[in-house]
Amino acid sequence: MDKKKKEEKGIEKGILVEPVVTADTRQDGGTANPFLYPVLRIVYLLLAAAGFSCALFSPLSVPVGTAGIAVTGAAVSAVYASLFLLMPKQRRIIVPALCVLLGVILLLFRRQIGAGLENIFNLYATKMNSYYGTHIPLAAEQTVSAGLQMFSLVWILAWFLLPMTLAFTVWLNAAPAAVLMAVPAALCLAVGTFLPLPWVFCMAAGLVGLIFLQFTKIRDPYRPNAVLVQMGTRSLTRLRSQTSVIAAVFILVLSLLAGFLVGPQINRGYATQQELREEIQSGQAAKDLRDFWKKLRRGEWDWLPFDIIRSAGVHGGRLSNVKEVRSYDELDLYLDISAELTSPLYIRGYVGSNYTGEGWSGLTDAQKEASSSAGMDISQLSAQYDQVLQSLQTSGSASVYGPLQFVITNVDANDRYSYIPYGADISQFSAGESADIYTADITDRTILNLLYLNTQKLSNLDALEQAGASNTQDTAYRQYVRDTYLSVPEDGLDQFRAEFSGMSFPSVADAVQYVRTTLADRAEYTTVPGATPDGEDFVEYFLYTSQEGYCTHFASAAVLMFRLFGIPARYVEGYLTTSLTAGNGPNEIMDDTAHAWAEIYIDGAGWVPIEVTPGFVNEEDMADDRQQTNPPVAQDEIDSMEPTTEQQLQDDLQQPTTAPDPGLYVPPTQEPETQPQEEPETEPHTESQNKENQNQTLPQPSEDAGEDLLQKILPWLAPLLILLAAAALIVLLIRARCAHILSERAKKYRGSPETAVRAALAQTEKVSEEEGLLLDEYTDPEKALQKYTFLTEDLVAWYQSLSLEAAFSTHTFDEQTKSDAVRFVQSFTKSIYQGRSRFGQFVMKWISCDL
Amino acid sequence: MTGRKAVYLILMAITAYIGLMYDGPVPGILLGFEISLWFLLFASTFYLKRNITLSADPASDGVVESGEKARQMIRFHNRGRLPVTSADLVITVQNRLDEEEEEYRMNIRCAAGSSVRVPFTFSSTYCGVVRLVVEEAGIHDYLGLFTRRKKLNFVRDTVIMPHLYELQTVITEDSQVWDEDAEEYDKHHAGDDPSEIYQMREYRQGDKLSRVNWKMSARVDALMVKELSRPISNAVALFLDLRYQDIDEAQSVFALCYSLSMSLLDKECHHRIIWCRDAATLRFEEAVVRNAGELTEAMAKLLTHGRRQPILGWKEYTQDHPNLPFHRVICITSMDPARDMIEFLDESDRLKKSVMTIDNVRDLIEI
Repeated sequence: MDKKKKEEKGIEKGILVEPVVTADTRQDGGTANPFLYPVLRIVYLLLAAAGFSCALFSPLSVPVGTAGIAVTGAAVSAVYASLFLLMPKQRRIIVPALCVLLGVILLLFRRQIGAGLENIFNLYATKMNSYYGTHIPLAAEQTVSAGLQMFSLVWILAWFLLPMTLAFTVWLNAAPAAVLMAVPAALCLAVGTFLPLPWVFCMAAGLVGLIFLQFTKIRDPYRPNAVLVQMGTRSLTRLRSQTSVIAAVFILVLSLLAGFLVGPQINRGYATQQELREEIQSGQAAKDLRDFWKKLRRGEWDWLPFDIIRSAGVHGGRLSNVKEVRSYDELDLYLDISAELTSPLYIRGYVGSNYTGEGWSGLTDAQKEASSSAGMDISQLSAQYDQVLQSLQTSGSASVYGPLQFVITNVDANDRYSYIPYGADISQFSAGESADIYTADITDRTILNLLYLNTQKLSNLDALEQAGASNTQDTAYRQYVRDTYLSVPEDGLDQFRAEFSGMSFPSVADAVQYVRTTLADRAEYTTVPGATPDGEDFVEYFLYTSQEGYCTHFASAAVLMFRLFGIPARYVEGYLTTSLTAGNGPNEIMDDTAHAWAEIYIDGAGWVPIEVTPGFVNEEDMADDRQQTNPPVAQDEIDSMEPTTEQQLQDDLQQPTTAPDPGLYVPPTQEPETQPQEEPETEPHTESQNKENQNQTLPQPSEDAGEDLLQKILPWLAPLLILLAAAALIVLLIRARCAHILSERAKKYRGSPETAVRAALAQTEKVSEEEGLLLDEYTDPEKALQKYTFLTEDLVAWYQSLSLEAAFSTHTFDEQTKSDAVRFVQSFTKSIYQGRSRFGQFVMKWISCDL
Repeated sequence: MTGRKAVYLILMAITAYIGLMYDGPVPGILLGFEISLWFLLFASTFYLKRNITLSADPASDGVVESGEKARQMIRFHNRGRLPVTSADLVITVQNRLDEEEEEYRMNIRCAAGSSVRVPFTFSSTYCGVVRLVVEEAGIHDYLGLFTRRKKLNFVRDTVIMPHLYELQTVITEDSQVWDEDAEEYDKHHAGDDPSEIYQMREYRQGDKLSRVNWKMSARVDALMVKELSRPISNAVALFLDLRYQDIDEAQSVFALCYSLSMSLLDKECHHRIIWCRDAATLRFEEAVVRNAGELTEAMAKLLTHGRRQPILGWKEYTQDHPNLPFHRVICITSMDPARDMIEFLDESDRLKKSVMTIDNVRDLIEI
């Protein structure tokens, strides 16, 4: 036969290996103690059973005591385990009989059992609720007496669950079944039920011993190309005895290690993790994990080497790799406010101090150090701004609204930053690392006062500038601000510098007007601007090449422009609200209100937000409401002008000015003139006053949504667990069935030649019939060869001849024939198996148990 | 192994979590138990690995006849104080002729301080040299979490002899005796070769006077005659054609060679077996067969080195050996004699040649 034909028929290489061999241990020295293994095995069973019983009874508070637990568990498990050990052949009768008996008992005591199970459920649920702060509803009270409930339940558990689990362990000798015994203990510990250490240790020791012994069996005997090595009884007994002893030694060593060395160290470590436990219990840890996932999903990590689609929100940092910004309609903040506000309210979050060419970064260490010795920190700046606004309010030179009270609650905004509206009174808080940029969480759920001034109006900017001019308390700070917030990088902004350097403006408002106009003319707003190509400067590319961007682009360009004009400026990200209600619950600040703007320092006043992105506040606010606008003038032109005389200045000041537009929505219950003058407070509210106000005027912040999630999951958990348990049981039963069938078959093959040959023939017929063509002595050889292409003519002829002999002849078979027949059926089955689909293979292996 | 490790790690994670949440010493100690067990089992694999050895037992079969079961006894010895509950041997079996391998796995358990002799029994449809290789053993710990591999490099060869046909052969006198210089002389028959003396005996009537050894006769005071020896080897050679197409054809060539050789030995016809070992370097193997032992040896060599060759090699052999030490050569082939053996059947040399194939195995073979 040529090679090609051979390959087509899939004939093996010609070497046939005996699949089952018996090891020769006659020369194996040493004796075997026949009692050690079974005795130790029972001991391990008893230990495991005792631990199991204790874990089962503890939540029920059954007053059986230590001896009671030990005796109950040990006695029952010993009886059942012994039954299975002693009478393996009667298992087929015993197990179904027990199931029937227990089924009858369950039926008779179903009320008590049901009540008892509900009792257990209530016990665990109560502990879960107190341990994890969940709100699992409890089962209704039962009318059956507690004593009878408990007794029945204990009885059922003792006589059913415990021994059936152990029976599986012993019968299947399977590690998974043994591990099931640890489930009650795990449940107890998980819900904080007290379990005595000795019993838990007993259980652990018993399980270790049982699993050690389980692995003295042949491993994976049915894997392909396995040669089964059977050991003699004496050697096997010796091996098992030794393993039993080794298990005991291991347990002893482990007990010492765990009890005196490793365990106490771990417990010491646990003692320092009180915070972590509280975080888990409060759901904070879960929230942190969710945040982590969200950050990853939302592209907040700007160190990623590729361009990203960023979610709307406050991120800070690198901007040049953002190709698109998207809103996910997520709630970021709650804002409660004491009065309606329909003017733009800027809530500051991230502050960018240094421009990197790709985005913004915070202060350097040197800058932070300089800020702390600059003479003004956040509380002083807040107080300064407050004073200026109050003076404007008093003088009426600008429409300052307030004081209002507000509370901000961070729901899902970037928790690295605090979110504080401009004009908030935070004078009672201390600064963080950098004195003039707060990083501490100082607004979350804290009631603060707010004086509001719409700084988008140019007239208000003028008013601020004028009011601040007379204030000199920030002299040292001004110097710091000029040293820090006027810097523009030398590299990469050549075109930008060439265009905007050297410009100066008579007033801040003029500069603002110029910046707004320039940016609106130069660029268009889009949320899909594309990333800045490598090597290009972020602002230059935006302004001169792409000419499109979103708020971060406009804000970054504006800040640099202000700096070149000599006006200290910073880049800020936060939230912009244009309308806030009061009295209807907290205002939801969604992620799509996240925004970026420029912030400039007005001497004597403070940092104020400047809107520079076209279309973000209404035109009325952005319009120049001053008397006249001053176009930008080059510095040399200013130098060439005559200096203004005092007389000229006085003449200018006496010019009538238009009244400043309040720019505020006036609540319907109040007239503009009767804005809350009767409560002009010059001092900020005290903490106690704030709290009182909170109780009287403001709704409570809503609770964390995390707990709701847990409550939603729990009702599904029980059915899921039951399903899983059922699935596991089914798998175990299928496996047990297959193991039994294969074991019986293997026994026949090892029996007398007659038995083996007939069994092999029967199996071949079974497999072939399932395959679609029965192979027996009457089968047409041509059809057989066509169907089973891996067979040869000789093989078919031989097989049919053997079948005939087996059927009709009185001839007895010899060992050689037996061996050939067994080999044939195994090869035949394997070839069929390999030719089947996956599902077919699964059916063959686990349903028909042919392989 | 990976699955069990994963399950164990999950178990440790659950215990760690329970320990974090549970206000008491129990879970911490349980976790300590689990961690210690992990390291103890890991350490145990080192000890187990160090103390196991694998060797071949003398009861192994070196040569088996065709159709018989061959048994290689592998002796697994554990000299340590810990029992080995699971050691996996990966056994690679290969017939050297076709170079295709098959892998088998054997799980062995061995008590401490004892040995297990495991018979690896196989039978081969084809003759050849079956090589059994155990490269390494995987020693598992008691929970099956860790495996330590030990290199064993255990190699054993078993020669599976070819099928023996019953051949009807007739040995002619020419083949039995050949009057050229011989390497060996008949120990049972006298001849006329003066190179060796067969024996000295007393004079019988009819003996030639020229054969009388006068010196010995004077010594023993009787007429003594020397008988000359008869050269009996080198007459016959079996030349094997290794241009077979597949293993079945190879089988037929080897079986014929073996059967013919055995038949010649039965007729006390010493001979040699020649084949081309390497066509590229024109290297030939020759084996002189004078007894069954030498035949077995020759067959073992043939089955080991008798790889398929692209050429017959007869022309090259005759060129290399101008003075052929035999006069009768039989070429055993699986090819078509009429088409593929022209080179061999060229009658320019003085040899008596014939070609034998599997088809004429039932014929009377005259040598």
